[in-house]
Formats: sequence, structure tokens, C-alpha cells
Amino acid sequence: MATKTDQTSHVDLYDSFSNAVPKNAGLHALLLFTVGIIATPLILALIFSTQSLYEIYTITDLMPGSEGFSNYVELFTEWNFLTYMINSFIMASIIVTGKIIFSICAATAIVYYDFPYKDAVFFLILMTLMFPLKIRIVPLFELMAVLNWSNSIWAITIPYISSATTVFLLRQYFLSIPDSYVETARLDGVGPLKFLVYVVLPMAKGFLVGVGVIRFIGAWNQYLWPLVVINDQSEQVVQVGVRNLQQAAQSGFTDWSLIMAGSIVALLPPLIILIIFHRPLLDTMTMQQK
Amino acid sequence: MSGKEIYDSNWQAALFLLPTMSVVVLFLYYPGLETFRYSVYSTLFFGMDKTFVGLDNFEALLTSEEYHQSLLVTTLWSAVVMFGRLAVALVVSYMIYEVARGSSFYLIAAIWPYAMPAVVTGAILSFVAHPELGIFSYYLEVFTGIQFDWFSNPVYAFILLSGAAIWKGIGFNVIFMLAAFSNVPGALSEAAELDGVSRWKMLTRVYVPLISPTLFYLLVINLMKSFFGGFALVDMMTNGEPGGWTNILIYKLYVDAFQQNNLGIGAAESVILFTIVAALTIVQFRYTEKFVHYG
Amino acid sequence: MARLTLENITKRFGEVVAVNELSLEVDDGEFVVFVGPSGCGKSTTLRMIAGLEEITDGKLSIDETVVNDLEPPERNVAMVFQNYALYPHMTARRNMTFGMNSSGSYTDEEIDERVSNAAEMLDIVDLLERKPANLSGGERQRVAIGRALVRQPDVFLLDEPLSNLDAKLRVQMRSELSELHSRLQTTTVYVTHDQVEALTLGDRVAVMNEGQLEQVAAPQELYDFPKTQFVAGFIGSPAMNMIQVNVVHAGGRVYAESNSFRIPLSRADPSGVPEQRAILGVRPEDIHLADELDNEADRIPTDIRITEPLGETLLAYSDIDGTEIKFKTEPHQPMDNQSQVELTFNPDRLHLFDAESGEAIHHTQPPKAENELTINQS
Repeated sequence: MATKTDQTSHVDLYDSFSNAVPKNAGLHALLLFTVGIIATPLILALIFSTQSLYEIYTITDLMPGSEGFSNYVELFTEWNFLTYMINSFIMASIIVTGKIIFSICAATAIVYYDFPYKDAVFFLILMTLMFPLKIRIVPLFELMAVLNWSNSIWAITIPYISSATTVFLLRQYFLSIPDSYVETARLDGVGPLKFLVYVVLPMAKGFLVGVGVIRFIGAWNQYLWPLVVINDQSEQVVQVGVRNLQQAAQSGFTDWSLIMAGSIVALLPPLIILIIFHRPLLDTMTMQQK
Repeated sequence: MSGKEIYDSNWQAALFLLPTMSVVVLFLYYPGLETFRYSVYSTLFFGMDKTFVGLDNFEALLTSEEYHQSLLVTTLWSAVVMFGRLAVALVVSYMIYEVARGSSFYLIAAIWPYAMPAVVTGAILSFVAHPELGIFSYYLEVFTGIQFDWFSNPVYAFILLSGAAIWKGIGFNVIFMLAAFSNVPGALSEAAELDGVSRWKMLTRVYVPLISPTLFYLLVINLMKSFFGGFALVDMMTNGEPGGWTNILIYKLYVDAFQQNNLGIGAAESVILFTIVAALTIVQFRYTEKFVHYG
Repeated sequence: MARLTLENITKRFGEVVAVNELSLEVDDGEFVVFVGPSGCGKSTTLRMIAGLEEITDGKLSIDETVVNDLEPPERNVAMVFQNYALYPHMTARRNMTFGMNSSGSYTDEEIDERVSNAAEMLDIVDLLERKPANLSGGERQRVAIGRALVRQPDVFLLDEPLSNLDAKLRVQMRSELSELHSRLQTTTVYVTHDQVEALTLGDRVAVMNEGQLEQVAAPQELYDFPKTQFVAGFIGSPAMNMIQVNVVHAGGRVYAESNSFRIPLSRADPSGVPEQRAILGVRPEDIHLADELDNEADRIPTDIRITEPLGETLLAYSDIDGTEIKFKTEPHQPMDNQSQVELTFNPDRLHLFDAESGEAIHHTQPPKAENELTINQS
């Protein structure tokens, strides 16, 4: 037997092996291990966020701590997190709604209207991809001062509510609706607003949810711009709030459990949205591959 | 007028375009172009004193060793992060595609970092890998004897920063790769399976060539993202230290413009960044049909 | 109820001529089918009638009104699309009423009544509250037709409406459409690439090719007396056999002659059919295996290449003068491949086309046919 290494015996061995163990068990184990590693820092942070100052300094202590509740309460009562969270929600909502409504309007004009210089207009919108925030941050900062928007919700929302990407994606989506649907509306003499509200948008519902999720995550996670343009803590967003916790830690106050708790709080809204809407998110991103 | 262009009222079209176009012009093109003007001024003292200095800002930058170092660090970092993300995401998404297609659990378990704010990534890792207090550094020392002191060791700081960016970026890449995998015709992989091709060979010989357009797209996007992202990670973890070896361009821009209040230099740095965006965008336009990215 | 008139209708897309100088009158209540290969301009013509494409040149009228510049809703036409174009998020009822609601000129009672009438006629009363995703292909098609019905249009336009259905359903829907039309008597223009659909549905069939209208005629006339070689080849399945021949005159008669045969063309006048190179068209069912009654001179020897049993008939492939010949024969009579046979052509059903222009020169007819059809080549 030992010398016999022909194809059949090899296959037999493999078959009996795969019968004993569920199919693909090895791959499943590897996959579980990998996603486990990806999740580990987060799980650790969750545990640390519940520990007391003493517990957290005992490095190997991985049991849920005794101050889980009070740490989180402290964030909201002592560290202004209620304001931060409300501000973040307002900012993200305005950006998401604004981006989607503005982009729907622009894409409607580009797809369903026949007007001169259309390609130039579309090109002009697309070319804004060349100007990410980092390119225009200095003049934009000055512009906010001129408009008297510094330290206000306008500064962290209005400059964001146009979106080349969203216009482009919606245009793609609108173009993917077969001509006959559009022409049916034309034969019936359906007006543009009615067509948009009753025909196009309901058909694009799932797609819009996907776009909304992408936009919400992006808006919620804004960091550099609020950090630069907002000084007033009553107008600040939660990302900068987490930084404030850490800045405090660096200057002597070292309650890491509070920083972990702040991180969890700042992460939860986009994470929950991703979990709830992962299917439309995936569909929308898949759409771009077609 | 035919096909989908069913309306022809110019004023209605203009009305529909007005919101986007006014934001585009006022908050994108205007400050975008202003950057070029600012870059030839020296604006010290909180912008009170503006003097035309020609290309002095650029000269100062391009002759500054600090800026050279920053360019080098950013390039290295972008390359490492891009390859790291692609490699990890490719393996993870292939495993999901092979054994757990359609499983929401694995899907969410692999893509959730996409939702994670970079600030949170930075905060968590700076504690978990804290040289004195971090559990990761503790066990690393217990098992390997390595003291993961990234406060003073630039290599470790660079590794930590790259690891953080890779971790955060996995989700986005997995989403795209899964979509690409699922667009591969089923019969192809079945044919290869019947021929008894091993999984690893399937991935490298069958799938990677087939999804190469997506991989190339992700390559460009990841480069762009790491060239322009990473600010929050550096700001939360290393502040560009030690010795400037994590001082990526965007962090330096922030420090120069908003902490040193040298807006002219900051604008000049933006202009240099612009040339990089422009180059990458052109590559993307040229070689991929999918030329938008998720900000 | 309306009469549709197309006068020299032309459509150009840039340099490309999609439809060239098409003229046609569709009578009130008539069912006209446009048929042709893809890209022949039939759909473009339909879309010009609907108002979905601008007319480059020519005049389109409904009754006495020129409608070239009227918007689609003002033309009072209704169109059924190949993919049905039912809005997926609306119920069947809402799909049917959405357009009417938009116009705002109907009362709710009026709309309700029209919907229930149409639904009854189409047997979809029970489906009205369902969404398209929960309807079968045939049901969707009915709803799409219902949507057109409720508008009570002057002209009904249908663009390949049966193409997405499976073969069996297509046959069923075909007869139902026929029935529906005979009940409603609405002027109808129907576009299809399927010649069987065209022949079975149309009062008249318009055959188009490369933007040109080749022939408009009643189905049987189209089949028996095709005006051009294209129509002859397009209508009928399997297609008409086309053999290169020389037209020769001898003894006051006209013959079609090739290397392997010389066939007299019944009642062809030598003055009307000059000697020339031509194409002889013979339909597969007009070729028979020769028997002892047949004149020796009329028999054409050939080899059978392959045979295809079609059930009610056997389709055999052979070869005459290098041209593939298909013919239908008795299915129960065994015939081996490569076997040698002799064929005869039905002398009363021969078609002669000009080799250059493809125009018909002469159609032979059985003696009792009333009107001889000879197209003079002047």
C-alpha cells in the first residue's frame, strides 16, 4: 500500500475524508478564524469599555468589567456626548437627504431631458472628483469664515450636498430602466414630477437605500473637516468627541475605558445601519460592476 | 428627442440642475481653483498678512527634507496598504464565495469595518497595541520577546499605521470583490472543478484574471484612498511621529495650514496633492470604465 | 376609430436611412402587420406613428389630421411593448389606470368602468390587485394590453408583443388577439419579425427590408404572388428555393432553363418575359418526387443529402446545379441519404424573379385562376 500512490487510491482517501467531515469544513474554519481576527480589536474594545480604571490596568483581564453602565453614562453626562451624537445625526441626515435629492434632480435632467450642452454639464459635475476636500480645504475654510458659517452646521453640511458619484450612479440606474417604461409614460403624457415620484423613484427604491447607506457612513465618519472648521464644542460632532477624550488622556487623564466606550458609541450608528441594510448596500455597489 | 429623453423643456432641466450646480460651483470649483491662487501667497499671522511670493512656497516644500520624507512615507504607506487590503480581501471574499455564498453572517463579519470611523480605528488600536498597556503588545512580548514600542520605533509605528488602514479598508474591498466573483459565469468554475483544479489554482488562474478589471479598479481606488485618507489614523495614533516616519502628506498639510497657520504653504501642498489626484483620476478614466468612487 | 395614412415617411438617423419613403394607408378598423428582419425599419415606423420618434420627412395623418408635430398623448394612440413595460411597484389595476389618471380628463367612475370592462374582456378580473412579479408572462401581456384598451385609442400599436412568450402561449395569445380585434374593430398596427404571426394576424401584411416597403398585401396573396425575391424568401417556412436559370424562348413558349432542367412556364407570354438571366423560385411543397405519370423531360435527377422528419411531412435536402434544394414529401415513405431520386416542380406554382433587381417577372398559375398575373418589365 505504501508504495501505491496512483490516482484512484488518492481520490478514495480524499472521499472518505470528506465524508467524515462536513464538506468544506477546513475552509469554514479558516474563514471563521479570519473574520474572528477582524473582529477581535472591536470585541476587546467592547470589553475594555466596561472596565474600571483598576481593571483596565490589569492587562490580561478580559472579563467584562464592573463599570459598563457608568462608563457610558459618564460619556453622556460629563463628556458632552449627547450633544456630539445629536450633531452627528443632524449633519449626517442633512448630507444624506441633500445629496440624494440634489443628485436625483441632476440625474433626472441629465437622463430624461434633452437640452443643449448636456455632456458639458455632466462632465463638469464628474470633474469635481478631481477636487476632494483636501485639495480645497484652505480656501474652503476661508470661504466659511466669509460666509460666517464657521462653527455652524452649515459649514459641515452644505459643501457636501453635491455628489458627482451619486449623480453618476443614479444616471447609470436611470439609464438601466428599459426605454419602454419611460416611453409608456411619454405616451400617456405623464409630467416630469409625477413621472419621477410615481414611476422612477419607486423603481429605484432599493438602489436609493443602498446609496443612502453609503452616504450615511461617509457623512457620519467625517473627521478632518469638522475638526478644522468647528471650534465650538456645542456644534461639534462625535468623531471629534472621541478625539477630545483621547486628547484629555494624553494630557494626563488616562481613562482608556472611557475612550473605548466613546469609540463604541461613535461606531454603533453606522454599524447598525450597515447590518440592517447590507443587502441593498451590496446590490448598489454591485450595480457599478455591471 | 427619443428613447429616454422624453422631456425637452430647457428651463425645467435648468431648474433640476440648479441645486447641484450651485454647490458644485460655489463649494467645489471656486475653492478648488482658489487653492492655486493661495499657493502663490504667503499668508502668515492668521491670514492677516498676505503677500505674493510666486513659487516660493513650492520651492520651500520641494527643497524641504521634511516634505521629501513625507512624500516617501506616504508613497510607501499607500503601496503597503493597497497591497495588504487587496491580498486580505481577495482571500476573504474568495472563501466566502466558495463556502458561504449568500450567508449574511459571514458577509457582515467581513464587511463591517467599512462602517468603522477611522477615529474609532485609531482609538481602539492605540490602546490595544499600546506599548505599556496594550494587550496585543503584552502578548507579543510574552511570545516573541519583541517590545512593540511604536512610540519610539518608526518601523513599528509604520506597521501599526498600515495595519490600522488595512483593517479598516477590508470591508470595502470585500464588497467589491464579492460582487465581481458573483458576476463570474458559474459554468466556468464548474468546468474547472470537474477538471480537478485545486482551489488555490482556481483563485490564481481562473478567478483573478476574470475579475482583474475590478482588481485594477480597486488598486487605483485604494491608492487614492490611502493618499488622501489616513489623516484620522495618524492624528489619533502617532501625530506623525516618531521622527516624522508616519507624517503622511495630508497630516503634514493639516499641521502646516491649521496648526502653524501657514495657509499659503498648505495651499501649495494641496496643489501638489492635486497633481497626484489628477494623475490617478486620469489613470482611472483611461483604464477602467468605472470611474467613480465612494467618498 | 380612425384611418391612418403614411405618405412618403422617411426616418434618418444621421447618415443612416432607417425608413425610406414609406407610403401606406391603414383603413379604419384594419389590422396591418409590419414584418421583416431585425433592423428593417418596422419598429422605427411604429415608433414614428406613436410619436416616439420624430419623422424626418413625409406626412403622417390620423383621419384628416396631420399628426407629425403632435405629442404622443395628443395622437390618441396606445402602444403595447415587447417587454410589457408594466411598472413593477404598481398593481395590475394601477398600471392600467396610471396613464389615465395623469391626463386628468376622466372621472374615477369612468376609469373604474373601463378597467372592469377591459379586465372582463381579457379575463384578468382576478389579477387586478396583483403586482407584475406575481403574474405569469401571459398574464402580464394581458395586463399590458388592458392598459392600452382602457385608453380607448384611435389606433392600437403593438411592438413584438408576443416575442417574450413561450411557443405554446404565443399561439394561444395570437388567436386571442385576433378575436379581440374582431370584437373591437380598432385600427391596429402590429410589428413582428415572425412571419407566421404576420400571416395569421394581419388583414394585410407589410413586408419591410432595409427601410423599404417591399410589398403590402393580404396574407395569401403575399404567399402566392410575392412581388420581390425578398418577400418570396422571407414569407414561408422553410424558405422558397431559389435557382439561377436562363429564360429562353422556343416555339412561342417561355422556358426556364438550367444545366439539369428545362421547364416551360405556363401562360407566359414571350413578349412579356424576355430572354434573360433570372431566378426561379419554387416552394418546398411544390416540389415532388417524380412518378411514372410524369413526363420524362420534366424529371430532374438529384441525390438526397439528408432528411428531417417533421411529423406531418418529411423535409428532404438535395442539390440542383449547386444550389441547395429543400422539399417536402410523404413522411411514411423511407428515403435513404445519398439515394438517387427524380424531382418534378409543380408547373402552376413557379415564380420568376429578375436576377438583378429581385423584382418578380412572372408567376405561373393553375388554369382556373381568374386573373393572370404577369408583371411587365417596363
